[in-house]
Amino acid sequence: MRLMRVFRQRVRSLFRGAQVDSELANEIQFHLEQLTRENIAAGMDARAARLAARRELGGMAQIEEQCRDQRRVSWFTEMGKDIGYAWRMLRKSPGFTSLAVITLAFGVGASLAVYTLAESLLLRSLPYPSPDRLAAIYSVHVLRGESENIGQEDFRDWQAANTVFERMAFTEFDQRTLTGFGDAERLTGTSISEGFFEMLGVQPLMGRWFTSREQKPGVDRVVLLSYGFWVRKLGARPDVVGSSIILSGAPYRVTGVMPANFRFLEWHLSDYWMPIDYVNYGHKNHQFGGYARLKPGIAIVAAQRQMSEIARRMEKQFPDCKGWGVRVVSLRTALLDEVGSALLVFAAAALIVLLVACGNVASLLLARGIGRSKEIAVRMALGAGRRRVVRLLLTESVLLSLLGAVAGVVLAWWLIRLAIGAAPAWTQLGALVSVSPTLALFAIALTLATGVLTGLWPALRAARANLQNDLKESGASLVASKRQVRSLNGLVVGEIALAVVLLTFAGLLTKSLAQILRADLGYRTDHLLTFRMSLPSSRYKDDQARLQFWDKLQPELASLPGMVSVAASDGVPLGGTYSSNSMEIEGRAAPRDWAQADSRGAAVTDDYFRTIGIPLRAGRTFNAGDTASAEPVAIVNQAFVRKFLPGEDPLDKHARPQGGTWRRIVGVIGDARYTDPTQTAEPEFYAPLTQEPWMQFVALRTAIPEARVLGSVRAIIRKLDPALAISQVRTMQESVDQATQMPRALMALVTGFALLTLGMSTFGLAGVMAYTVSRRKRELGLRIALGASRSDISRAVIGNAGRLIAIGAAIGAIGSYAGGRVLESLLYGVRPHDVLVLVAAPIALAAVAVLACLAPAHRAGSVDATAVLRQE
Amino acid sequence: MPKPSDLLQGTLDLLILKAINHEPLHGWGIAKRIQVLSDEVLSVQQGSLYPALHRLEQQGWVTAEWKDSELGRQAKFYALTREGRRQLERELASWSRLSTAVEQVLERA
Repeated sequence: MRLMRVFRQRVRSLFRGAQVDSELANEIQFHLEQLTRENIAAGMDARAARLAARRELGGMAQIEEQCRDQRRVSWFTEMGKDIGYAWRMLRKSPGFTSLAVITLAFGVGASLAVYTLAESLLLRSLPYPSPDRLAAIYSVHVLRGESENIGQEDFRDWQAANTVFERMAFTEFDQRTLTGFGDAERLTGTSISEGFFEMLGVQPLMGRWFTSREQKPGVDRVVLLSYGFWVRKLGARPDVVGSSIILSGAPYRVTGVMPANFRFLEWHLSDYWMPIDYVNYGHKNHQFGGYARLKPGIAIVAAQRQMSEIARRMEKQFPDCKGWGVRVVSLRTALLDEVGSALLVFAAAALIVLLVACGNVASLLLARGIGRSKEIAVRMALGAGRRRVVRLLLTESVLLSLLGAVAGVVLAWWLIRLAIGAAPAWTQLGALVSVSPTLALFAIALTLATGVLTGLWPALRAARANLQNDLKESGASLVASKRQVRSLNGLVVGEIALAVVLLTFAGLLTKSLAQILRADLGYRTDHLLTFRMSLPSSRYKDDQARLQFWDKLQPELASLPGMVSVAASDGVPLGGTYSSNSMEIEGRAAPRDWAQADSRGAAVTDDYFRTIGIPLRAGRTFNAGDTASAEPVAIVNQAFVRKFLPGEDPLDKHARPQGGTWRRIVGVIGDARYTDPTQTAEPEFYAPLTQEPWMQFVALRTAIPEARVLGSVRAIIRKLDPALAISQVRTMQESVDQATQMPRALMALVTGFALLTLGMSTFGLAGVMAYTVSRRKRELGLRIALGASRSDISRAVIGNAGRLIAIGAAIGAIGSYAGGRVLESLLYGVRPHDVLVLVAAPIALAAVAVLACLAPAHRAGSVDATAVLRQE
Repeated sequence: MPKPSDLLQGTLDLLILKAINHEPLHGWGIAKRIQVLSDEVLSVQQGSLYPALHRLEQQGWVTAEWKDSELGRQAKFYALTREGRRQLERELASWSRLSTAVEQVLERA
């Protein structure tokens, strides 16, 4: 009741202030009249009575002001006034305002973008109940220390022995060809073990999970669809559950559709999920992604401890487990392993931009504050308290940062688009980014903090005015006070130091990218087109059928105009497929540790090396004589020779994948980077496709631009088999570009930010120099009149600037040396402490900064002594 | 006439609440009433009366209404609210505690 009354009063005071004021005046007027009347009754004449009444009542304005204070809303009304005043001040100097707003926009925009991305990735990329209890499980090759996929048999033993996981599941990459919906299409999906969806705890949008009967091998063919696939390919038909779709020639019954936001971090996008085939590969096999949900209350370290113990027991029990351990990491950590360091660098760059922007605007405000000291002194003389003055100046800077934030949102939007384009597709970053309440809160907090950060110091300085001096002085003292200059210098040094750090980062990333692009991939990337085309085993039942198809396709493709050579293989560089085997060399003892005898295995047609552009180093390539029934032969690369036959002539030696066919090595080819442009070449063991007909890719070398043959290639394939899907159609250059997209984007981003901070800090330095020169005009004029030469003066100014630059650059160099570690995992071919970059960045910055100071230095030297001194 | 003594800090609120306990009064009337009831000993500082009234109104102890005064002119009349009456009782209690204590000190010292 009382609160209601109080609230009504406050609202009335706030919004009907004029009415309340006039009532108050009326009330006091009434009081005054009564007093006057009483005085007249006591015998005074009218004039004296009125004066006496006034005297008795006291200052009307003061009473009214005291009453207004009682209303407790002065804070609001004063703020309104401050904002109006600040707005007028900002409009009065549009140059300063737009400069400050643009500067702050960069800082706020970059930070907003980083926050949005981080929030999206950390909070929304694991849309499951209690995502913190989800973990990824890897097999670890103890000697190499590398995390690898897990095997089914290992998984079973872990599942039986552990007590820390509530549920465990494993997945495998899967691809099928969809037919019956327009052109045949290659789909990417995931095979999942039992318990996968139960582990994640996500129900389908419609339909249901697989029953355990459906997941028994050979019982039933069932599939769950992704929301995207359901909408894209099935037109979001509501009656899809229970119907069948044809995948790679076999009908699969749809049991459900997953929700739109369902996602699982498998490092690829999934159109569907289906039960995995259980095949006993033994303990040697490592090809599945392992995942688990921890029991409530079990920490990840405890799980790791128990799993390590189990792995040690298994090492003793099974020979194939020898040398293998287990790694358990939370799913969130696994995600951050992939994208965390790029995000961290982005965040560091954004923070530096924000700090330099704040520093820059603060120095602008500081310089302005010194110029405004007279105005502020007048305000204080008229009764404004220190707090009131600080508040007024802070309102100005917060208003500035607010305007900056509005402009910054546009920049943030653009940066986020850029990041979505550069992030790996499986992160589905675009779908994660959204405007959340916490984002809005962050934006508001950031804006206020920026305003206070830029404005507080200048405001406190300004309010510490010495009234007498400031009022007496005509606005320009003989020398700028030492304290004022020192604050400005400190800001400039800080800005330069931060700019050096960012410039060093940019230098390191640029050098790293240059190394990546310059790296010898081992094959020619121009005029090379590859696409994926696998022959469904339902219709191409045996090796012969597959070879026959190729024998029909190959001559047709080769006879196209502009075609140089045509090849097929089970994989192409940067194509995303990979298979590896442990190797045995004839006449050598079998390796004690099979995992250490790994080599990539491949099957290729005879023109493959010519088509891809991998040079032959010794022996011969495959030829028409290497038929299915001829002697089994192989070609290895130089890395293979170095690993398995060091210092020997590999030709005519025999080797085989563990348990496979012995093959005679007939040729040696050059090394090539197969999986990643930044990865060094690994051992490779090639068999002729005729002897291992496992066709996945077609590669075409052309004499004309690749795009011009594509239409005819598609037509030929459609003519031979209309149900055959081709996918991943890319030129090799596109594959390389795609593989280097992340380092490119990061380099571009950090370099852009670095140039921005370079600009801001040198501009800030030049501004401060110009300001001090203009403040010292009379001092300089006096010096010149007393005989100092103009070049002396200019040199003194440059020397002054040089000192600041040197200090800033030195601090920055130390900072980059210390902070370089952040970049380590993102650098290729460059150490974070690369001497060239560490030295070049400060020097480059110093050069630009000195150039920027030439103009103020020149102005200092050309001060007109007589004119200046006459002003006195 | 001896100079009216200044009001003890904080007692002004109590006197105002007490003055309008029986009937609503305007500011001038409140000042007069306090002066008369105290036999001209207490004189409200005119300057502090209105801020005090304003405060009491803001706190919801009193409510104000514009009415015709006995002098034929519109004046702002203040009346106690229910919460104001309770506040008056609280202030009276604390005042009597204070004055008893002061008296005791004066008697026993």
